[in-house]
Amino acid sequence: MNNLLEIQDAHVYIGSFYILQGISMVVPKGEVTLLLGRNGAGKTTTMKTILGLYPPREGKVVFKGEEISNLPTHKIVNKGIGYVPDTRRIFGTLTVEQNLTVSRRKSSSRDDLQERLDLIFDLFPDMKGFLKQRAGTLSGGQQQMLAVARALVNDNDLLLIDEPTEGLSPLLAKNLINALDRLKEFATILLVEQNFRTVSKLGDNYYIFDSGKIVHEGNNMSELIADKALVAQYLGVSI
Amino acid sequence: MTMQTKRFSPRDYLEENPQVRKILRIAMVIALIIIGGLLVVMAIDVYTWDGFVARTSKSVVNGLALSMLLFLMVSGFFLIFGLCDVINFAHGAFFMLGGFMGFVIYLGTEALFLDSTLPFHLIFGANQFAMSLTAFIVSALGATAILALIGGGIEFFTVRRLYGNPIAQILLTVGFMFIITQIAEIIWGPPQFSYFITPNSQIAYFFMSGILDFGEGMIFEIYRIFLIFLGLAVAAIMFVGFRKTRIGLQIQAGIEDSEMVEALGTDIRKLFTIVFMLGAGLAGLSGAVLVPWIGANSGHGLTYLIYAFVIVVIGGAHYGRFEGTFFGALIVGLSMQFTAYFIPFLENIIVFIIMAIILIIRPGGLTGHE
Amino acid sequence: MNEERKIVGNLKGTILRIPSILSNNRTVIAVLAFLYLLPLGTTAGTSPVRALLFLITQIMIFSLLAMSFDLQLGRSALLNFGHVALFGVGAYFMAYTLDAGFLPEPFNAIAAIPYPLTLVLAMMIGGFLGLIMGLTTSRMRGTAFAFIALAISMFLYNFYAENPGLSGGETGLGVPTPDLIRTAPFYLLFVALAFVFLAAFAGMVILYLKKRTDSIALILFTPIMIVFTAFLFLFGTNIYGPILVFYAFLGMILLFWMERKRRISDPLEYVEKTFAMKGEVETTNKMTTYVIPFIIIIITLIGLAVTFGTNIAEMVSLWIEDTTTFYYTIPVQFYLVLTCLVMTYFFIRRLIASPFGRMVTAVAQNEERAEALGYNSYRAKIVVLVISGAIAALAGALYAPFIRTIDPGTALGVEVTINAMLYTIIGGIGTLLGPILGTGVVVYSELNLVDFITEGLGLPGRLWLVGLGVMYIFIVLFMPLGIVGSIGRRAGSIKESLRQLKFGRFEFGLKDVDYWVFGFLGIMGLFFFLVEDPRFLPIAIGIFGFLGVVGFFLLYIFRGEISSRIRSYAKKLRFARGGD
Repeated sequence: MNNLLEIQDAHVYIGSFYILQGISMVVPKGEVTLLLGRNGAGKTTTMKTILGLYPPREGKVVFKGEEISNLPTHKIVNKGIGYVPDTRRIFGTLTVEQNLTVSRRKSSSRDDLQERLDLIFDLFPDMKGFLKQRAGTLSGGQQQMLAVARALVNDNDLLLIDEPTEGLSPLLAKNLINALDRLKEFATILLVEQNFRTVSKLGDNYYIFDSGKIVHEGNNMSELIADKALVAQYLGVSI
Repeated sequence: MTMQTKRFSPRDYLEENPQVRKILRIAMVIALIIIGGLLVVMAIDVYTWDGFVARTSKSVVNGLALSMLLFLMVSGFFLIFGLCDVINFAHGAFFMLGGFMGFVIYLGTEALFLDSTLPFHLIFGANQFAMSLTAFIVSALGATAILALIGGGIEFFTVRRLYGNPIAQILLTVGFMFIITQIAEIIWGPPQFSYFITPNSQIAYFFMSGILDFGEGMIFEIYRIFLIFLGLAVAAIMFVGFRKTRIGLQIQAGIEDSEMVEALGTDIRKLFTIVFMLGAGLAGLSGAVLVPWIGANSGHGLTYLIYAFVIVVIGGAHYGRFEGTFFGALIVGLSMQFTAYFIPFLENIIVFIIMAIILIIRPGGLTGHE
Repeated sequence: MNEERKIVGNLKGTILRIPSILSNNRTVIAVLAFLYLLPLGTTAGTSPVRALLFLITQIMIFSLLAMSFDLQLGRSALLNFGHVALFGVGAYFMAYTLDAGFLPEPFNAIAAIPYPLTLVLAMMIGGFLGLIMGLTTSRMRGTAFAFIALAISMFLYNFYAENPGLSGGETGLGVPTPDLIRTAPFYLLFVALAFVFLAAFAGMVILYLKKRTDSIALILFTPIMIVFTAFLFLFGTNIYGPILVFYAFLGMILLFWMERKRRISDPLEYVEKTFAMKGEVETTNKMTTYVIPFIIIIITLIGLAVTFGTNIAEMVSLWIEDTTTFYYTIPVQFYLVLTCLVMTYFFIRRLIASPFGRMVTAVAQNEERAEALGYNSYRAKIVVLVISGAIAALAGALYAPFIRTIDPGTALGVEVTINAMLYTIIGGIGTLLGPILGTGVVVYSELNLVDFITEGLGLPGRLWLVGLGVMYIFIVLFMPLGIVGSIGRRAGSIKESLRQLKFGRFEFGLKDVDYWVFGFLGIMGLFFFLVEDPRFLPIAIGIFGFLGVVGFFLLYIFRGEISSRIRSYAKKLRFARGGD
């Protein structure tokens, strides 16, 4: 079983809007897969479809060889998926510690909590300092750390990370990418990112989305970066 | 650069100058305080200084007791609204039903304890205080449990089907309010009838029906003072529960962003049901403990629903915090009792005036977002 | 010479448009003609019709309220829990203008305003209150609007309950009947209107028969002819009137045969073709186009005048003897409310079809998207609230003199809002007829079932309200569009099947143009049923028998669909219970 996650011809509607128009993709185990494309191309919707928040009307999602497309969200997540949403969506009224408590699943085994916390503090040493602080008062970079940490308190096989560097300064973004690079050994990552050059070192599998369809896929990022025409057509020229 | 001539708009001007807006708001608050002061002075003038201390202390005690009671009820309403986004119109009806349940269970327990064929009367026969206290505790817990079951059942069988369609959910809760009110009126009669414990009790005794007399007209009912402490105790338990327990944290997080809580692996539907049970249970509890003071009455449903609305709006309806509800309840309870003693013609209107003022100053309520 | 020709041309154009107007509103005209005819049967004495008129007036007033509620909930997704405030201000304003002695000195000047004008003023006040409510929607989004609106109405309620000087205290505020309602000329005005509607009805039937030249039309027309004549026969004071009307009907059948003879080649194709041209008359035969129809209409009107002439004359002579007579109140109020309802109905229909109506719908469906498209959702909501406020205030202003005593409970209590909500939702959200039908069903059942439960079953009458609540919850859960909406959603497929109806060799295809017959027969049957007079029972049984036969055939035709629907629904239920 080489592929951790597989999406087979998924058609997704939100209300009456036809958002994903037949998406098929695979996420190989232990690697980083990048979803690229402009705003509104359907990347975030793909993530939410995997999570079961927008179940596909047709097609299916297979995780660890098991169809999950008709399961409720919490059951899907409990199979070992961590989610880092695009606008962070941390719980501002709770402290950082409470945020982590809420994110810790009941199904996670009791003993590995310390292990997970060690991993988090290892990746983000600063976090120890603001554990008792209200999350709403944190800076943008700290909130992003918390958002990633929330996905790490459980032993997840797959991490869905949506636009992690959005709104961060270049230095913070670089630190975060380095942290994600280290995460590769612990989990498979599905990463949405606009600024694909900054994440190109993370992995080589990529899918390019446009208007709810996959228009290009490949497994060599340097080739993609060299292909000026493709980049200009689907990923904008603002680089 | 060219200067564009723009029409002057006060709203835009205020948006661009937060300092000015702040000053204006402060000025407005000061003006309102002055108006309020004038009203109080006018009221004192009308009633003279005689009995001022007695009136004030009475209104403080009654106001605090009412506030605590309202807080217990409204916190349930707030939880349901905050987490599930359902404006639960049946909440007042839950509260009213809780009152009747408390009343019925109290009398039933009392009858059970006094029944000479059962062993209970050996324990309680001589000690009326212990009997009454036990019956009261049983009635409060029983009302809570029954209402929690009703609330959870309503959520599980009906409201659950309509998540994502807020208007239909509201319409549904209105239907339940209608049904519960009608059933209560069939069984216990129209709002003209109030049911109190002591007159209906077999031994005409309630463990906390005495008064405290400090002289000079400062007479307080012990039960109301007890209510203040009871309310504070339940509030403290709830605050701690929300800080320390996992489910409390989940509920708090869900009020902020329920989809995210779901995406982190919590069964949000189950949480919704739990919150419905908790909310309805709180309504039942507050309804049951109200009985010895104001009595059980089929008209309470609507009256207290309105208070719940006002308090939640004052405290911050959208993404508001629990504390907001607490202070909202304090404001409403105290202002109602103060006006009842000093400016009676405002008693039933004051809450709406306060709500209007707060919405003008802070459109999102005390703690909510705009 | 040229000018004259122009004027004549314009006139001709207007007259030529009449047939198309008539053909486009068949059901409405048929029902209205009957409703306008009803009060003519009243005489000075007590008659069963009076009680019925009173009931229908009440239903129509609450229909207005429900329609204004639906304008907010069904059209623009605004759930207004303070709706009763709009109703109450209209009612109280009307009460103050009618009773000069109630308000203190400077304010009682409003009592000098003449009656019909106060209706308009009440609407303006209601619109203004709607505007205030609308302004608060900017402060609170979405469902939280319900909070504010309820607070506004509760504020008004408490204010009135605490101020006996405004509300009349314990006994409530007595409202005298407006003088205008008790005058004969006003009554005669509406009688004239009744004749106009009857002429329109006759014209519409003639047009129908001239176009629908196959035997189906005759089959559908016969019961109408019989029942209508019987109605006049039983209600009128003169036997010659119904006979004249019957002859007029026979004339229509004559016309039908004349048309049929000319167009016998392919009647169905002919019908399709003519109706595609908006029902305009395209024939050169002066005899069948102008002469015979006019003779028929005139005979009908004369027949009507003969039938009810004695009644009308009696009513007028009573007024001449004593101008303070109260006999007029019930029929005239009926006419007044009916006219207001009809005008509101057509107004809302126009409004919804207008560009503004489309904008409101867009805002209701998805506010953010509508704003992205450039609609101003805030303004749309405010305008809807103003219009709806005006209609609700009109209902209140009609209600106060109708019910004679108002108190804060009946004019400003939350129960009124909840009732309006029940009516609207049971009838159907977002439909025109839904609120009216819902009101009729609920109000009538309330009156009669309560008696039945208390006396017939010996149970508390309020059990009916519990049942109503259960029905309401059922509708919210399973039929979100209400009675009318649910039927309307299937209307397309039902009509399609009825079009191909066939029994053996005999084709029984019903077309869109035929449905007014059922509307008319339904309302007449309802009337005969509701009037509770044993004389009319056979007719009611006849009508319902006819409709029942049709209904049975419907069930027979749709048996496959119905059983499959029930099966799929049972499956869904099991899934919902087992799932998650």
